[in-house]
Amino acid sequence: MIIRYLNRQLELPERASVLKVLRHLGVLPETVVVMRNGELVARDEILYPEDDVEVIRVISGGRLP
Amino acid sequence: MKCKICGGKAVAEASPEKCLALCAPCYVDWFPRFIAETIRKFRMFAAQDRLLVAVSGGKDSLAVWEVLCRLGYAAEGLHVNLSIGAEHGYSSASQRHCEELAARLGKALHVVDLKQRHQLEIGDFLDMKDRPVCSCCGTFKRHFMNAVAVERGADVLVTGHNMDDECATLLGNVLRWDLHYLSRQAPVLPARTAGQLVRKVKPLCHLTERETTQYAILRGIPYVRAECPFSTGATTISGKHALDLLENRSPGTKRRFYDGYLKNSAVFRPPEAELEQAAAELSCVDCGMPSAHEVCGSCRLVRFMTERKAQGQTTGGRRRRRRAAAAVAAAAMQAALDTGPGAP
Repeated sequence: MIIRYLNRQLELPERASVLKVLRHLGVLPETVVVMRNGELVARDEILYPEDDVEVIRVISGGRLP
Repeated sequence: MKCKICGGKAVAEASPEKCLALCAPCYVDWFPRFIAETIRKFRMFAAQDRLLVAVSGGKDSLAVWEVLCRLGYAAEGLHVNLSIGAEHGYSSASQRHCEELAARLGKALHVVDLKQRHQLEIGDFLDMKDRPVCSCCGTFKRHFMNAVAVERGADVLVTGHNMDDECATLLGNVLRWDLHYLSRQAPVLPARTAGQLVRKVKPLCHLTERETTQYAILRGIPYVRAECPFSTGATTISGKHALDLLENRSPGTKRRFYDGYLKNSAVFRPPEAELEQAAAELSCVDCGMPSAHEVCGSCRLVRFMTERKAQGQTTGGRRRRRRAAAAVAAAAMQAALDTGPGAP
């Protein structure tokens, strides 16, 4: 599956839960929301190789240097 | 995961201490009800009050404006355009999203443009000695928000500060033991000096950024996802990061931290009479707004920079370096602007 996060694009060949994808990215679950094919998904959702996944940061007020 | 209300498929989750996963229709129904309950709990305003919502173009302020309109309040918008990252379109994109939502809500949006008013932009303040540019930005925004609220006869000024913002501010104040600010942080700041300082409220104070983002996405509210190009390394974001780590280890930490402060904040607060006296001391000779000094903070900044520009002082290497760093951040920002949920 294609995963877009912070203007980066990664590819995961296998199915995985949202939480597993976030762990792979090293992202805390409370700091992002995940969209699959343009739709919001919960953390226990399973993502499949054909999915287009976007991980959106929710923290505002700047970014770490 | 099933929706806790209807049993359908959950797509959105509330913060861990609420133990709530909901489907899309139940979430967009729950969110305004939660805000209505917060408004009632803190006695923020009454049904007949005229509200002015300060909207930045970000998810929180736009979401709270949309919710207040859904709840039936008379809420107009105010956007302060500081020409941030003019060359990359950050401020123009922010204003565009505010205008889009205003049109959708059928509500008035008042726009204050620093460049039109004072021929200045926030980038002019990048190399202020001992004064971060974010501090100048905050001074201008607070000034214009209050001034427009007074001009428009608004009873209440609403901001989109959420629980993450409040906790990060609180953490910063505690780390510095800044008793002055610790005495002033609250979901409701009452009106002072005969209405010249308008009542300020924060209806999102018990909602996290994640909860607000989910609502904005599910309601199709267009918002700027990019961060301000000048805010890289801002103190607030370090505080948020530290709190996120604690929250991940121990869910509910932020809510306990914030509620614990609200419960005990009276110990930091001076008597009401002292507050009133401090606020009523002077009026700014330039703008007439209440001020602790002869010239208020915003007008002092305007005076300083206008004089400096008139003298033709050039910017130094420090400014150029910061501009270069901002340009790097802007490249990433532009991509996000183009791909945000609100992008065409």
